[in-house]
Amino acid sequence: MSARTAPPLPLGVGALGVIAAASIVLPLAAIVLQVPWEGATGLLFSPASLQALRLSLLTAACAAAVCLGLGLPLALLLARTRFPGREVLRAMVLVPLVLPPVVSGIALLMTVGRRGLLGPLLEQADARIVFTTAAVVIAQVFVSLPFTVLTLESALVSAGTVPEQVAASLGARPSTVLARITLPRLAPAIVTGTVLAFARSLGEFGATLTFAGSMPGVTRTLPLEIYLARESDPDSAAVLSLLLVLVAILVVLLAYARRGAPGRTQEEAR
Amino acid sequence: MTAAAAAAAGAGGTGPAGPADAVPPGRAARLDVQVRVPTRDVHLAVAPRPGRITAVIGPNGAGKSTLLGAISGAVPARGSVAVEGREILALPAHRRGVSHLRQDPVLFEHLSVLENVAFGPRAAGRGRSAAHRRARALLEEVGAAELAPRRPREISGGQAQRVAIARALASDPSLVLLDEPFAALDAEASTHLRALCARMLQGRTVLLVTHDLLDVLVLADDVLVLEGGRIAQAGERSAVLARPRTGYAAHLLGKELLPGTVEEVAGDRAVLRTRDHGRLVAGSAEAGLRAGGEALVLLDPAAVRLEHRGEAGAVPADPAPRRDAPTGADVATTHDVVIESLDRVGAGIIVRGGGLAAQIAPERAIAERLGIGSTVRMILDPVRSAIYPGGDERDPAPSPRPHPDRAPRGRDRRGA
Amino acid sequence: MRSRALDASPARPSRRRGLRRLLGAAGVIALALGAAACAGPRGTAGDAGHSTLTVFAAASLTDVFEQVNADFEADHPGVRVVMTNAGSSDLVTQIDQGAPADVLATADERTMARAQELGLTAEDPRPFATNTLTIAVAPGNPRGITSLADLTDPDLAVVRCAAPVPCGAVADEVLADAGIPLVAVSEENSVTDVLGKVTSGQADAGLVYATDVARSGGAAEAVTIPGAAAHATVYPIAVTDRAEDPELAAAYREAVLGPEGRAALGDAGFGPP
Repeated sequence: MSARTAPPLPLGVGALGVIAAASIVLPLAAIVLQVPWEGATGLLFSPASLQALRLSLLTAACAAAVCLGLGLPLALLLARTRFPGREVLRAMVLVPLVLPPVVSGIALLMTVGRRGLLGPLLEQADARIVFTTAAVVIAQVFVSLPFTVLTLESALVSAGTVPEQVAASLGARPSTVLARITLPRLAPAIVTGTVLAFARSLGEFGATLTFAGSMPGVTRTLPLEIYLARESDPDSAAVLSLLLVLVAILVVLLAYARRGAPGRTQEEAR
Repeated sequence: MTAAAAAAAGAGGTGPAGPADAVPPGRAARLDVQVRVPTRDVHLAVAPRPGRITAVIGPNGAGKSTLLGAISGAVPARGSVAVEGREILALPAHRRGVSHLRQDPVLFEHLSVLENVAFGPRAAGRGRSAAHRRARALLEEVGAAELAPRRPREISGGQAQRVAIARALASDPSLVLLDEPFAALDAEASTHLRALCARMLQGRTVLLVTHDLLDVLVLADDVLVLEGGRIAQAGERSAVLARPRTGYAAHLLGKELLPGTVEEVAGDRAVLRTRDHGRLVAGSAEAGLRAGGEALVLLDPAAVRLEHRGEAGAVPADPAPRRDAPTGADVATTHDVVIESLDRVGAGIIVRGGGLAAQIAPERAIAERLGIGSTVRMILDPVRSAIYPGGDERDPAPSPRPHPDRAPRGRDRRGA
Repeated sequence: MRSRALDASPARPSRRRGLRRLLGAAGVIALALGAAACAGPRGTAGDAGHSTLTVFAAASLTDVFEQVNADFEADHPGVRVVMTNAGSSDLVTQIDQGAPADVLATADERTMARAQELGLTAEDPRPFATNTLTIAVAPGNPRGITSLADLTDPDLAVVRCAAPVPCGAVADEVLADAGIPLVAVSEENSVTDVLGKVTSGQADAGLVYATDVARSGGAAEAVTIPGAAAHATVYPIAVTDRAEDPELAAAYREAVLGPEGRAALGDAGFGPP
């Protein structure tokens, strides 16, 4: 692209931009500044917080992988095929974005809980999902999947299908077209969608608490640990919050370091 | 141009069979198309000569790209498309063996030029080194061998189109479809590429959609003229260009075509009354004309003299002697019209009015202040106007009638 | 068609710009007002004969204090009682961060002690009720639970409060006393969540307070824990250091401690202080 600079924005945009940035940066800075630094390392590396952090990272990574595994086919279906009820399905996929996470947790309970839709089936199989680590991942997937699907679907729509048509005319089977053309073109959006899912899963709280419960090492992720710490020791809550913020910033930086704005296709990224 | 004639005339070579119901690769593949695309009001039956390049021309919206799309699989269509006798319409696009090249080369951005060209062979199952060898050979042929390691974003438009041609041919398609392949290139690049295509498409069955007369002259063996979703004319290039039956084809050649009925025939002269303005036009008669029959007159604007009426003392020197003219000769050659439009053709200006057209030098238009609304006298030369039969039952659309929602007035000029 | 540049007269641009500035300022003011409005209602004392009393009470006191509040309003016309319920620790944190509370009633003495340490109380807290730990089970006790020991059955899904939470601390004490090494499937942040898991059927049993079961309206049954009374939680109440009307606040405290309050608390399952 050319090296021309964009025409200047009106002053008001800059002012509002500063306010917007401040509304995000200030609270984060406040945590950093008000954290009680003596004893902070002790708290940061206590067995309980390390355990919670490990659990959080593990479940969020699993959830992100599942979101990609489920979200990609769903995005492809929504963007590239036509079937009755497609619009309804797309709307429903986005519902977890709007639901309060606790409501998502309740919905999950009503599905796979003891008295849920699939409860009797699970009882028969002597399987229990609630109160397990799997439940944590399920809750995270439920609330994060819309991010992945949204990112991938809009990238697919804006990328268009001409290269895929050309590949087909050159003799490539649908699976070849998917593997050698569609997915490589989608690479930046795949990364963005996965990172968003990971970040959302890392911060997931309401659905986890309601659906999975809170047991150290099993279901007590870092946000749950922070929430509990507030009861007895607000200082440690602040420290653990800082930990979560730092992990989140690290994840975002790693994902966007080379790329710039998220969600573009390969061609636009030039 | 029936299928039987095509089979007789064509080379019709077939290659070894490929996977089960894929079309076997071959060079001069037989093609039989009978397609309907109701959503676009396209209804065509055509059997291009195998091993030949058939130019598909016509105004915008005539159905040219739809025809290509129906054959390649991009446009859903009903009917039958048979390559080497094998029906491909029911096959998914990737099993049809049809290469489709557009204005936009659409190279795969994330692959190198070499990997782009090797894509077809690899998709067919060839090993990487074998595919790369073939790719290099083709890049060599198109004169782009040194571009092999580069990325598509690093090469120019002309170079990209070369690579696209190599890529399209690498999978040895039965059929090659070209959709205005040089329209996005500058004159120099398109000249080179046109010559390249002439060489590389030798012996293949090719359909070439174009608006460019140069493409037709350099590449085409046959010409297919589409209008309003139907075939308006089809035949060998020389036949179609010598005696066009559509306004579009006539304009492409810089001529003017008027439909009408034969008023009288006498020896090698005839007079036609135009349908649209009721003018009498004299011209040289072709075989098959009869009084009262439908006919077309092809005028050469370069042979039409123009006099600016209303200019003091500007009556030109005596007109050409008309010794063998039919009765009422003056009426049939001299027409006073009001200028309706001016267009540029090559180095001249075409003045149109009342259905007729005359070509003059730009200096004259400026000097005589000719403009829309000026009254001029056009004097036709019967020797240079040809009248030939139209409305033949062999012709599916004898007189091109403007379709309300097609290109405006069915008039589309080359390069538009 | 003349260009717009020719049309612009000197007077017009400045008027247009002035109008835009006015609209911009109005927009900012509207935004600020909106933000302020979202901040929530604030207690307004001495507002044309009406006064508001803000009570911060532990979650487990929600229902019973509503009764107390209604009685208090009936006895003190012109006074409106506004109550906030949350985990005791949350309440203290909120007051510490500046929330406007006149009276504080917590579900344990430890949290009240923290409030005192932070200087949030204006007086020594007074105990007004006690609450005893009990086992909540589904109505009809389908699993036939009769004692704490039964809860160690690995097939049972048992939930309890997490240790840092007051009811969790009590649970620890009671379990230690009885020598039961209970392994729960979930340690919740609030006793309400524990009860919720039992009433929704996700858990077979939960360690909650007697008042929670009483409040459940039949959705759960209680199995008494012998010896739990020894570790009953004491609920203290105190007027805060920032009470708008300290006399009114003190009157409220007295109402809670008095016969009407005691009767309401007893009905709800609380024990005497």
